[in-house]
Amino acid sequence: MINMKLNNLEVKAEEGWTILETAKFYGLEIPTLCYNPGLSVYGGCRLCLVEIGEGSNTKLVSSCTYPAEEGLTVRTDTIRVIKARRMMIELMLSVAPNSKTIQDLASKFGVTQVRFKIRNEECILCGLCVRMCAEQMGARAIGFQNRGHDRKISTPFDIKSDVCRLCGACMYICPACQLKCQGPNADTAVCNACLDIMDPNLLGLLR
Amino acid sequence: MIKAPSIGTNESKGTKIFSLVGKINNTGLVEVPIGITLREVIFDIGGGIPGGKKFKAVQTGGPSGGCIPVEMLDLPIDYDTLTKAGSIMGSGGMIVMDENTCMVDIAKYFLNFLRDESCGKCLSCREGIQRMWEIVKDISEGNGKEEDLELLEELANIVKDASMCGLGQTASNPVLSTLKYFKDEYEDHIKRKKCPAVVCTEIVSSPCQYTCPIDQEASVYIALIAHRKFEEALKIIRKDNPLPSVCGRVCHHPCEKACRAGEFGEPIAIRSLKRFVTDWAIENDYRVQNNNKSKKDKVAIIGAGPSGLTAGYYLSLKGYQATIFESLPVPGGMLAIAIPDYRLPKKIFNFDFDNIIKSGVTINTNKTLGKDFFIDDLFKEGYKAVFIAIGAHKSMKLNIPNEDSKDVIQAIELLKEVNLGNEVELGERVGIIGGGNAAVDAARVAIRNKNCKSVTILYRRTRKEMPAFEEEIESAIEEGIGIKFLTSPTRVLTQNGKVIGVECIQMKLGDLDASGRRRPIPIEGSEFSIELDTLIPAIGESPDTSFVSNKDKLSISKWNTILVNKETLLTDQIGVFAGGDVATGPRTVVEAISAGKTAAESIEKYLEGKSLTKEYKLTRPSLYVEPVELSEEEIEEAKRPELSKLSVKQRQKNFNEVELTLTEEMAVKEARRCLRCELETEEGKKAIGR
Repeated sequence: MINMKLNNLEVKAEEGWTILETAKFYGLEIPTLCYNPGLSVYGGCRLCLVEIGEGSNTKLVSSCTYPAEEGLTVRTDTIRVIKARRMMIELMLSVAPNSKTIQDLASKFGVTQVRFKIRNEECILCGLCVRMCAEQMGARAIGFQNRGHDRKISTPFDIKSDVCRLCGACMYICPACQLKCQGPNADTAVCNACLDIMDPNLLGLLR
Repeated sequence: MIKAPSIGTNESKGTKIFSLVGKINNTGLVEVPIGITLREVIFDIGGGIPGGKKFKAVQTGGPSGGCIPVEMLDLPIDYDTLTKAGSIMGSGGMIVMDENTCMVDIAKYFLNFLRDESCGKCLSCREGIQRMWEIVKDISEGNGKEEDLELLEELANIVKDASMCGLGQTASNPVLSTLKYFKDEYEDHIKRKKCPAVVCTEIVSSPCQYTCPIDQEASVYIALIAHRKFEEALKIIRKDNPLPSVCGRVCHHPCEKACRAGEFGEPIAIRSLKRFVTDWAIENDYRVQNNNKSKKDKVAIIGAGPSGLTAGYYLSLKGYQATIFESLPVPGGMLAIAIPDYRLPKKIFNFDFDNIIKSGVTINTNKTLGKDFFIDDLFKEGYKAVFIAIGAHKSMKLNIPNEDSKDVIQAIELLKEVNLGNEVELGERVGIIGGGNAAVDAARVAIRNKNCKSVTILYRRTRKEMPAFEEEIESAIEEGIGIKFLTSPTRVLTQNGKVIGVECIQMKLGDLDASGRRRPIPIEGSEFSIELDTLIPAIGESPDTSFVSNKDKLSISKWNTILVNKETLLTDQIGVFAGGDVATGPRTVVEAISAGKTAAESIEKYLEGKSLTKEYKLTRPSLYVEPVELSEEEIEEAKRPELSKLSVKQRQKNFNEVELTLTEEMAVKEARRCLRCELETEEGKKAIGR
């Protein structure tokens, strides 16, 4: 068993657990988006950031990829963590404002504005569909292309795939392109219709 | 064999190889001990900045390093100090930047590189760098908003914090370090729509127009000259300048200094091209139309120098009744009394002046403020606003013994008497004290005096620091005028009340002073004397503000200038504006014209009850002219024309104009050489269908 400190609680983690899994076991909520228990971990959406370390020597890591370590100190909801998460949500909203999943995250974390120019791409490159296709469907029909700001998800050479069975699993798991939020319109990019009915979580701290 | 651990600092041992590149004399790889200062690497090993330019910043560690400013040059280089300064050791890159580098542009450049280099997995890095780049790009194009800086800083810090690998964690360095050390540059781009280093294309458009204090569309009239459309070129010039023939001769042409053709060769001869067009106008007698606008409120302007004339001209065009009061018997201010005929013939000024009169402005000469009338008299007489543009005509004192002797003549007095056609008695040997344009003008006027045999200029610094125009200094030397550098007068030597010479002290150059020039320091015991018959001090002028009475609410600075709001020219007294030399101290003609234009705009806003606050706009030409096609040969042999001048013999003891104008062929050829920077903006590209 691994002994570590999670939000000032002494906790024990199984060998091989990540920080996220440990936190879940103890009932501590860490928001996730590109994480899915049935798929390999990715660490791309940066929502599950937590602060590790002590004193002035702390840093942010993605809890879904960081393994539980003996003696590690983890804090899941520091101001630094929340500021980063809120910025991540703002960045996601700026490229996929129609996603119900992301709009709900915005409401939950009190993100009430998007200060970037909206680019409606309906994709945040979380890679859930790519892993779903490869790991659960065994098809590997889609993957990432290019890098940096040109990165996108598509079939090889952007042509109709031989191996795709049109199973729809990629769309089932997508947080951005399937479940549409009815609320937002072009002017605001933030719906916030659910702002007051969401789990209060840390909003008291944020407002 | 070198034992590595003996070299370096306590924390970081050994040496480090840097790649010195950018605006530095000795580029290449250098291996230095860790702990060496940036100054040693850049100035001792690198040999400093080429072209005598100023060092601005150094970027270390490659694209994701930060920019370290001049104040931190003495920083010992090791891993920790660089990190603390907001940069990194990284790849050991060291990009040196000079004063012509725009820090916003640098941040944009590296962000553009990094947004491609990011692998794109982490949202923070992929989307964060992209968004930072978008914000910085907007700012560099003059579309920035004030809240952008806060967002940029917040985002940069989070990208640094939230990304997984080193690329994302350091990608913010170019932004964070430039924001930390060069925030004022970002603010200039956002609030004033200015790029101080004259780099950002969408803000600057063409550097010549951008740097011109009166927004002359130089690249447009140059293009029109290239198409031989001289009349249209004249219209473009006159639109923004009521004294174009004057400027074509005596402007200090900041445009040529900024000209992009000058970066790798000779700048376009912009002033000569303007002179070509205005000389063409004089030759063909192209005059402006009479202005018959309905007359609105009365405005009084005090001083008929370039500033006052310009304000009067534009106010009249706007329909106001502008009246100029001038203390001297002639209009023109310093243009008429300080610039000798061999640089600016009377008929040239008169041609521009006649055009100004056609706007409907009235001129009253021989009316001195503080003697013949006061400011509150003007308001009683029904003037609704007053513009004070009395210039700076009071000579500054040397503060040495015997300087009030009879044979000591102030440079401005000499120039004024000669310009007004009066005889001045000078001795055979004349000494001039000072290094500005007045000093050189006085020297060249003196050598033209019938008695005068030799003229020596005494200047306390060296040629490099001399503020007079380079071409004027050269002409003076051609005409046989001697210059003694590093010489400062300590006492005027007299005998029976007559000047017999001047005692001087040898100077040496010390550290930089506030003006960025090296301060002259006297060498003790190095006094020597020079025999002279006439001494002409020309060490500067200040405004004569003795007219100010208790009734006026004007505030006067310790340099005797009237304090004004620099953007609106409003003084501390409502309805009273002041500009030109009286507000700035002695400056150039074009700056005075600029003040006149600003005053006219501010007075119009004031009289219409509008807010005076200046609205900043991007520099854009009023018209895009098709570019000309140059043949290979033409490109090959393109070079700045040599101006013809009168020979030294032809100049002797007369006031004939020394510099001659370009021929039509020379002008068209030179105009075709222009790079047409204004066509590089999005608007410019669109206008010519590229």
